Amino acid sequence: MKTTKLKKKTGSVRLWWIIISAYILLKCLINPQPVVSIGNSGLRLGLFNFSNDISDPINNDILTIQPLWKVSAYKTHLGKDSTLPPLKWDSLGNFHLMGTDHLGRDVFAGFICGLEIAVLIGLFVAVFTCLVSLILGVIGAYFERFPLHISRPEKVLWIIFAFISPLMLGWSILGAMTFIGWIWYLILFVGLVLIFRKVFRTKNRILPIDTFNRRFQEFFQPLPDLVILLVVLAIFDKISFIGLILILIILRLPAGAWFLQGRAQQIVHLPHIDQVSTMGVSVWRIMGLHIMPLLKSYSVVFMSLTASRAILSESALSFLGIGPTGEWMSWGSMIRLGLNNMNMWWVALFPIIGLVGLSLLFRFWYKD
Amino acid sequence: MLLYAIRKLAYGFLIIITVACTVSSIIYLSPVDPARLSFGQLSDAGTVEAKRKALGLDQPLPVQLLYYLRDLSPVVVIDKNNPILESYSGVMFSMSSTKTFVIKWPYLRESFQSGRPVAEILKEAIPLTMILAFCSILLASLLGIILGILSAVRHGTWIEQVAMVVSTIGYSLPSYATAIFFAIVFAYLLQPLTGLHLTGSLLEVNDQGDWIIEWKNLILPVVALGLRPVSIITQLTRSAMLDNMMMPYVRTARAKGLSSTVITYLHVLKNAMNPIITGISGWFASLITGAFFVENVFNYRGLGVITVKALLDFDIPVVLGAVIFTCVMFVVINILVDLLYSVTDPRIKYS
Repeated sequence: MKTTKLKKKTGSVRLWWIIISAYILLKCLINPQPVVSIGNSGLRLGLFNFSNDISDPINNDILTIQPLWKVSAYKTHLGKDSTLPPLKWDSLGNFHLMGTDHLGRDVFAGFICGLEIAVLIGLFVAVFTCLVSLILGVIGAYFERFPLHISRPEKVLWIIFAFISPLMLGWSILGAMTFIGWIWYLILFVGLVLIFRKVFRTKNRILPIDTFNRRFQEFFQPLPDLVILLVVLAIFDKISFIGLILILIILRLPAGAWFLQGRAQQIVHLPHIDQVSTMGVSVWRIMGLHIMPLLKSYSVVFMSLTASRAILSESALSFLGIGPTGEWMSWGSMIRLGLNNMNMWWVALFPIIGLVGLSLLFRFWYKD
Repeated sequence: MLLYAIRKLAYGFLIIITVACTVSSIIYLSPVDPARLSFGQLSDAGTVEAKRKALGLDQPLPVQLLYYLRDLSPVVVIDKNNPILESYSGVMFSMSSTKTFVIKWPYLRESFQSGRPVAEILKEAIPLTMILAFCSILLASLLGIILGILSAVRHGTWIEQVAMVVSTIGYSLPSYATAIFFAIVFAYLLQPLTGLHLTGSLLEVNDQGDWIIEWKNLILPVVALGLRPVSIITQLTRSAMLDNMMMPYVRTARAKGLSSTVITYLHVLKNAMNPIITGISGWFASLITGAFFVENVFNYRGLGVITVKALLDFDIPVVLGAVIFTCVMFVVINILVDLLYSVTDPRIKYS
């Protein structure tokens, strides 16, 4: 008798869980604060207890357990303890694993902050880009296989819609168009489509949904990423964390939608799609349950590449001094600091190592 | 083939126009007033108003945009007594008593900060960036092809493994990180041995006040910029060589009694060159943006330094000129790469 062997869960998945839980445990040991706390400056992501000076309100509480390993804050500490090389204790008894910079700030604290920001940006951008481009790609591939037949005037209407919508999106970003305006616009468009469907009955044209992704990609492909980022930063002057993530998603979206549509087009021509569509399964069910699961491996590859690229883009912007500004520390700005003060090689070295390591990690993530 | 090239060119032209429109309209919409910017604090309202009028900022936005596009386009029909005609450099043909037909270079206006024409600023910067990108792609292709051949010939040995590990790390190193690393090691720690400067451009002013060419300043930026292409070209060469070594014609050649050197260098390498050449030319475009960072590290006064400085100063015409130039470069190189595919591989035909 043949026995079917159950597929074992690979060790690497378990390894990831071990790494994540060890990280959280370490954080809880060192820092009695919750993992992510909402402070008065928005979302605070300080995971280690970076403060050891008494003036800091977090540590002033008697009920707070004192941290096991005193990690000095990424805070200015002028005096003779500044510019310490790695693996040194300062006069307050803090251990500086990666040394301090010229203002006495602990590089390790900055390194950890930068790590969290980089991981967050990489994961957010990768996951959301992948989700949206998966939806766009599958819709494109499906309607390439089973085209929607429409009348000629309706097609003209769709083309006008496709040209006007990006313009209106631009207006709404610049504040010239409100949310109510969008609702009116959409009501007008849907109403016109419904009227056209009632009036014009001869359906001799195809709605070219599959070409949308292609044109999208053809437009964005020759434009360098960096130039688009520079222009966007020039407009908004000061960019937020969420804004940067949104821009990076929009930048990576065309390539992702085109790549996944190409893969989905192969799947759409498989026999099981024909079978389910003749059985009368609904469109959304076919897309969600019969096409998307088969794209899992491709999406993982795409996500890993996107994550490493997003990290490099963010640090590049911070390096040029035009990245997001706020409460956090980015590896790019630490590298910039190290460039301006060459005698402190450790300030630039550790973020560079971290950047390369993290982007390599994300790049080989899909090999699990 | 020709039709395909024309269609691609038309599409690229469309992209450039769209980019110019979008970028200029978005930047002109931003809250900063360029007229105030060019005078600073020491100005009265009348002067600023006059400057606004001179820059055309009192016009509605669509009109401003059309004026910018008029300045940008190489062929234009305008009034004979229009003062902007003095800034155009080109040939004029009289059409009627009032109108004139001009064929000209794109006029990119004047910088808000220094008042110099943008074209002049770009003309100084672009050759420096081009030399940098060209030298590093040359270095990268030489080194990359040699390493790739070595790792393909010594397939399965430690040479290949070392080359692959090094190229993987080199690929994920951002160019500015490499640049800082080289700057610290070769221009700071080993400065007495190498004699290289930490910062410096190709064109420098010496003590007598003359412009001199310092070739020494090119070494570190070229190496820093070239490291990433080296790893890409190594991997490309290796995979192309290995793919070709599996082909039946190699077996035939071996059966014919040819030596393995002849097979590797004359037969396999020649066939493997196709993806390598297209890969190299594709990377040349992205090197121009990669140079942005390396230039900023070494303060090499190319396109990157000028653009970032203009962005921080909000010098709109310079940013616009640099962005449009970069886009044009990208579009042109992409079209050339597309056409190069069919030149290097006769099996590919465009219809």
